[in-house]
Amino acid sequence: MKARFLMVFVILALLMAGCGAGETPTGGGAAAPTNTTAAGGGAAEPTAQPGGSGLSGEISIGAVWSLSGAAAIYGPSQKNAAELAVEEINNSGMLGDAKIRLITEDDRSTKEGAIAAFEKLINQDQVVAILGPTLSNSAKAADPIAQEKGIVVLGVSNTASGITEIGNFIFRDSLPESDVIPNTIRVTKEALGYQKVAVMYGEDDAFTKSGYDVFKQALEDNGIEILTTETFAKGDVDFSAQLTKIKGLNPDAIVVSALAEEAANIMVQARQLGIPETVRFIGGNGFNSPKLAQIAGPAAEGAISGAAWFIGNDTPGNKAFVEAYRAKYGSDPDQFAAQAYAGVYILANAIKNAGSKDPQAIRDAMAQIKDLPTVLGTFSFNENRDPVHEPVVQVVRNGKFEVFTGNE
Amino acid sequence: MPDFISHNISTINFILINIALGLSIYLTLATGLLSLANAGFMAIGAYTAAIIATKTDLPLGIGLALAILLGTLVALPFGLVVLRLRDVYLAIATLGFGEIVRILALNGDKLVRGITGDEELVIFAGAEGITLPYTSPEMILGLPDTTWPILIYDLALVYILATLYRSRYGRIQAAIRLDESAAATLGIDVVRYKLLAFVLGAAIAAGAGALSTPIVRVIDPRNYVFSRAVDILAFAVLGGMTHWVGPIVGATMLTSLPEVLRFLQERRDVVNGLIIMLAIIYLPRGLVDPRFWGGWWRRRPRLRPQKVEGPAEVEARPKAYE
Amino acid sequence: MEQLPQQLINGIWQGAALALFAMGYTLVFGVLDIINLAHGATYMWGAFFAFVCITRLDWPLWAAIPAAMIGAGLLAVVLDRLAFKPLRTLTSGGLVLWVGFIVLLLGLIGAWSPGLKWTLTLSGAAIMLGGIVQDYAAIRPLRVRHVPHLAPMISSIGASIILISLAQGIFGAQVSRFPPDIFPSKPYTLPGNAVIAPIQLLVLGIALALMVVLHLLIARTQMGRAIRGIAWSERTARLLGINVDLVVAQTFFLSGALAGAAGVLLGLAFNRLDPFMGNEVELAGLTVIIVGGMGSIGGAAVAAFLVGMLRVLSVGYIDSSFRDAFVFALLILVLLVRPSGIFGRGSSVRA
Repeated sequence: MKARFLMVFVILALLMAGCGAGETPTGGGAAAPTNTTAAGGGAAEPTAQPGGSGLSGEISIGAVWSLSGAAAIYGPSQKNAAELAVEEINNSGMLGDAKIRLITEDDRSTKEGAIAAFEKLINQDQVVAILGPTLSNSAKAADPIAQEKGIVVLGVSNTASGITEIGNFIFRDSLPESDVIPNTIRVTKEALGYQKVAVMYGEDDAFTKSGYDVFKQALEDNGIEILTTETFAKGDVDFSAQLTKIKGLNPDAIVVSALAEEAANIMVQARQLGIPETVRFIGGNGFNSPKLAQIAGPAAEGAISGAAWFIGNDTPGNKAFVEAYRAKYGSDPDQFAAQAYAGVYILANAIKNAGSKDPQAIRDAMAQIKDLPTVLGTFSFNENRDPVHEPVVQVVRNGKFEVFTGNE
Repeated sequence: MPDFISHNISTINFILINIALGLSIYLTLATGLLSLANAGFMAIGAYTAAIIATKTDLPLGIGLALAILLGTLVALPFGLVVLRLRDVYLAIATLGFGEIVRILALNGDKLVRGITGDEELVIFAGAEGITLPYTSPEMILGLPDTTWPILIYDLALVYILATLYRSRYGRIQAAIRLDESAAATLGIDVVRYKLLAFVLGAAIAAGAGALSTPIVRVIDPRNYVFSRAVDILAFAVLGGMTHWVGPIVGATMLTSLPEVLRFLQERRDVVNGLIIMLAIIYLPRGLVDPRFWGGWWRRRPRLRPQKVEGPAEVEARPKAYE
Repeated sequence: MEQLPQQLINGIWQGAALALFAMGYTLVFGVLDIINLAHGATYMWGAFFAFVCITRLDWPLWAAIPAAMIGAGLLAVVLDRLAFKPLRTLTSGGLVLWVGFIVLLLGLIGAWSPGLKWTLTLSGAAIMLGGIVQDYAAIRPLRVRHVPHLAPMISSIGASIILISLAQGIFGAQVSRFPPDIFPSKPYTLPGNAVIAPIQLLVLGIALALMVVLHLLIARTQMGRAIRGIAWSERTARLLGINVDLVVAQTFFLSGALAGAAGVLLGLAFNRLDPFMGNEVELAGLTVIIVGGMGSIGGAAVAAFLVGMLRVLSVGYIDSSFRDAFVFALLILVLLVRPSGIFGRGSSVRA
């Protein structure tokens, strides 16, 4: 019996050694963190350097996006925007002699992938801060690792509850739905005076599901009757059954918690089924993508979206950002891109203010950020490390988002 | 080595979980059954353990026991009805089962609210899933305390499966896989042994799901989609489905591969797919094929003079498959 | 009840969409006993072929559809040579094809300089072509193999992963759509206040027409006879002088072309093209071909309308959350009560 156990141990040890041998060459000195310091131009030195702004060499920042798998729709625009921001910062000399080195990792849209990516960025690349991950549930799984190691995390697309509660190193610049949606419902109810609505939401996606929860609460708080709640699954293309049912109930408006791609199809099919154009579509952050009007065309006219960012914002640098993004990637940025872009700037400002590469100092500087001009607007963190800036309510007019003024 | 372990601890954890999952599907594959229900049973186990952990103060051990019990209780009746289906049909029925489990987990609260009438009840939390509190792992003998249970679980599984493999059961299993009707004419109760393999596999998967909860910490239905079932299958296919070492090798390789291939960024999937295809086409018996390695094994002195006993020998006959 | 006429139309429409997808799926299933899980990926590629023809090459829709069908058909033939044929017989041409495939993939995914990338990609494609030609010219295979039944299914899973990942690399994960004015969108009003869009009518018409054509092709032509022969017994067909290899390739071409047509039409109808579009219909399509019975075209059609209706009515009258649970419950129920499907005739007589 003993011999058998011994054999098992030997096999397991061999397996571990085997996968270790396989990993070393790609990690660039994976198992020897001390080497990284030399190779990375002092990037990994976690202690503050004396003197002045004290910044020089490379500052490694990690980014974890969903570039493949189910959430690969969002990741690429975040990656693009973050790279654009880093390029601008490095060219502008904002950080003095120091340059930001952005290390991007793909989490395959899974929690396992996010955890492994965080581990790699922290242990091998010795980053001082991490942007991401894309999905809220991945953030809940991976952020504690950074919190424990004392590495700053700035979520740029996590809108669910319970993210910044993970710990004092966890920040986000993405307005949670609970800041955006109640405002949207209040403003639009005042202007449009709807009394009874139908609700649709994607139930197998944490983002759209939590959006629905907030909508439901906000609708109840405003005394609006919910006629029916219909669900669909991610990737669904045919919503005619749900919409036929909704049509029979004659709602004043249809509240949709969905991503732009699905929302666009819902709008097209609703108009096709003869739901009149006076029945508006109202949505949250998920609607806020140029894809909405692109895919839905005329059916998107009049759709209302509460959002954290508006492509026509006259916030500082927003116009330059939209143009630079367009020039570099040939498409309009969406909210994911704007928040990732703003995130890099917020982080860079914190690093500059901290004047050091020490994560603790960066964290403290992050917490101090107040009234910083960003593309999202004048930006501050509150005491819970959640973002504070004005949400917008926008409406699709002639295929473009415009600010919702109420005088329709 | 200690540095290596602590730097890659989560990858090692996932390897250990996947080894258990690979072993769970190995049991059914080695009996000639293709079951894609293991992701579903993993979900059952994970949700059971997560609910125990969040709603009660009971330790993980109780969660594990309940998960295995529940997995077994679900697998028994389901196995009884679907196991008369043959290969592809069984695969599809079990695939449907996995999807139904996922949909039920997604709408668990709706069902529970319907039954209890309590509209505020939150147990499954739909797509957001159950989040377990993070506790900083304590190091015991160089490994975090979250790693030990799953390591011990794997070792126990290996011990049990190795014993079964060398026992009468192992030979019956191989006999059913090689020729079901011949096995039946020899007086083997084929249905009983198939059911045994299916239920054992389900229980192992449920246990693995339960033990994965402290490591993944966010238990939501997206963890248990169809692609998870495919991943589990791939462990056994690459490693080999005729010997218990197979899924261990397969799970280790496929779990560390995405980390090794990080430099490929988002095109890693191409290599993953390529490996699955190459393995099934050019190594249809997997990397660990007793028939192939057996020759090498036997050339060494001292080993197994009574080799007639092992099912490995059965494979040595030319018509090993079909 | 006032929504019923519209819901019935919705159900018929979903059924037509599913039937269109499932025809090619069930054809390969019936002839070769293979569940080709890469069918969804072929469908997706068909849609993107047409997308490239229309948006990059400025072709009209009527020219893009046949082009997409041919493209997807050829893709399915190559897929058979790569993923399934080596499981039946190992040939030297097959090995050359695989070498070419790996070179092609290296070229596509590696971070090479543009020149090297194109060299690798094109030489990979050339080697693959050589492999197929050699494969076709060869008389004796290296080895005839007997692999487990589940091997082709697993192999097709691998192929599907590769095809989806490549599409994501080339077209991005974002949703694309055909130009909006490519097809009239003003819906017709039917009695009972129900409406149907022109594209939906077109899909319904094409689905029905293709079903009839496919049925006649298999029941009445020489090629159909050969296909049925192989479905019955590959060995007997070979002995009777049927060029099995050619007929298998024809079957895959047909299956792929049908998938391509489905991809374009449904991409058009739903305004949505993305690399994962095949995954969404894959499981529903699987239900259809199992419920319909192995390889039965008519069975698949009936099952498609059944599943479409079930999905629509469960949303309309029960609860949208459990829509898919009902579909999978139907799947398991049919498997238990009548494993050969509603229209299956046992495992020996197929197609």
